[in-house]
Order: sequence, then C-alpha cells, then structure tokens
Amino acid sequence: MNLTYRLLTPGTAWPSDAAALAAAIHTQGSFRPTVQLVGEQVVVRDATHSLETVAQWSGESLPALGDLVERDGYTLVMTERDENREVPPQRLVLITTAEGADVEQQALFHATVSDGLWWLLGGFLIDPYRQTVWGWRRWRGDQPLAAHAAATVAAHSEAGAR
Amino acid sequence: MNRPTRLPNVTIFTLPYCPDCRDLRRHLTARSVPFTDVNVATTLGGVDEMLRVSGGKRSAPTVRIGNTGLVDPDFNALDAALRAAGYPIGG
Repeated sequence: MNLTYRLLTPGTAWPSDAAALAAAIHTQGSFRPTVQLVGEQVVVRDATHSLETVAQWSGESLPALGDLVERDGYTLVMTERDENREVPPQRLVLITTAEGADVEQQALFHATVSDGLWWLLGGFLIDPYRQTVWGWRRWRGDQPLAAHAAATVAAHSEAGAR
Repeated sequence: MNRPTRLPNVTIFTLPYCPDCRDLRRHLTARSVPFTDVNVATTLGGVDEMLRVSGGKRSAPTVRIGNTGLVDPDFNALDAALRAAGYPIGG
C-alpha cells in the first residue's frame, strides 16, 4: 500500500538545497536519505530500507480548512499559534511513500520525510487516515514521529478492513 | 580614552513561514540590534550551519551571538545573552 499525506503550504518553491531537506529528515530519526530535486518533484530515498517518498506540487485547487471540516469530516488539531495565518497557504503538495517490505518502516519514513518537508515549507498537514488537519505545534507536541507512524498504519488498516 | 568595543555579530537562522522567526526579527529590530538573517530553506548549507550552532537540534529560530548558540530562545534569555555580549539592552 502507498501512503499519502497532503501539505497545504504557504511555500511556493522547494528548498533550494537538497542537502537541507536531507539534514532536516536525518536529524529526526535514523534515516539517512538521499534527496533529489527534479523539476516539480522531490524524490527522497533510503537505500538501507529500500524506501522512496515522492513529493510533488499538486494541481488540485486548494482545499479550505472549513470545507475539510464541514464537508469532509476532518478535525483540526492545532494550537491558536498554528492557526495564525499571517501568510496564507498558496500551494498543495502531495507526499506519497511507496509500499515497502516493512509497513512500520514505510510509515515511519513517510512521517519523517513529511515532517522534514513541512518544517522547511510551513503550513498544515492533511492526514487522510486519521481525517486530521495538523498544525505544526500539535503534530510535534502531541506524540513522537514513531507514534504518528503507528497511528497512520492502524488507521489505514482499519479503513481497509471496512 | 576608551576605544569602542566591537560587539559580536548576531546571526539568526530562520524559516520563511515561522511565526517565532518573525517575532524574533521584530524583537531584535525594536532593540536596534543589527543581525544577519539566514533563511535555511533557501541558503546553501544553511541547515548544516544551524545544526552546528544548535548542537544538532533542528529548530528555528536559532540564534548565534559571537560563539554562543541559543535554540528558540525566549526573549528574556535572548536579552540576557545580548547584554552579556555587550549590547546595550535595557531591562
């Protein structure tokens, strides 16, 4: 199974330095990824675990947070500080991690890469598995990345079983 | 006659959409402290330099005053560090 998150971001361009994203990911866990910025895509690979995440600018129109809540049943999980949108979202990024041999490692890689990209670009993370729109402070403050990964796997499995 | 003392440089490592970074810029500007702003998302090697200053902690803003690193400091701690470095900060 592929895993996806969407990032609703005020950022309009990838970080100019692939090494910046690699370091942003590496500092948060055990992965030592390689990062390639290729046109509209960022490709992040971890050779040790044979994992790959692709982030790409999405052509979808930007979802309004209110619509995600009222129409799609999402919950906003963010602090007041997170909600302060001095710079409004401008673009949507689709982040997809391909199926790996170990689903827990895949989910942890997915969460860690998303976290690194989000740290650099800012905005809100849309998590379809828990139907949650995360603000940065709650994402970082509520639980460690391993717990986010485990919850993603559990919610994904539960949805698949229904 | 006292010779003017050269104050240590202040560098801040920031991200463009980080509200704490915006507050930090405003705080330093309000205190007339000159600083260099390194946007780590767009500066080659910026994240690595920030990690050296912060002792490996990925956090924005990070502040370097001379050889002293401060990770996401509150303004009291920042002002204390500036005063210790010789900046004429009241309080």
